[in-house]
Amino acid sequence: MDIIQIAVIGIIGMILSLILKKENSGMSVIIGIVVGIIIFMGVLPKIEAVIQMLYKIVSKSEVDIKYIDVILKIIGISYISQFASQVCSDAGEGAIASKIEFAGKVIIIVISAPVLMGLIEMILNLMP
Amino acid sequence: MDITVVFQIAAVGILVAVLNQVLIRAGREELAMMTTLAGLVVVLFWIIQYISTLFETVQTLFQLS
Repeated sequence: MDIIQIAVIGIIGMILSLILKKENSGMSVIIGIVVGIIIFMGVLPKIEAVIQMLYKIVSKSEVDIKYIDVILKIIGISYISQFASQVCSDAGEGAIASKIEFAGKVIIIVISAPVLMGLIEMILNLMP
Repeated sequence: MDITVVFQIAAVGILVAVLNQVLIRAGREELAMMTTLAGLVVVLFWIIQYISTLFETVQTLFQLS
């Protein structure tokens, strides 16, 4: 699915949700969500290819594999929290959107804590 | 994952909006409100499976829990 198809789907979704915004605002938010899902599913094979490439690069270098897992987890969490918070802010619910963003940041910090600890210990070992 | 789903949802939305206006003109506001809610619930049931496929895909893709 190349970029032209994605742009056309986005524009069609935007027009349809505009038509429905006045009488039926709930439906226009739903159309926004569905178009977002369709575009993500369209880009999915390309994302998988990038992740495979990432693993190949890491397996060549001597970097530990668990760091890449943490990075992938963080990317996944940030994508989902961004998706949800933008849908909420589109629908006008700014407060909910910022709460979702806040929760996403906390979860990312929790996941990256072991990596930070490892880094600090490494630095302390280097100190004379 | 194609665009026909978006057209179906838009069709339901427009249909419900028109029905809403007709019922309001006929003086039955509460029925109009009911049809709007019914249309919304039907569409929500449609897209629940799409949202769950999205989240499952992201979970398997990024090895989340």
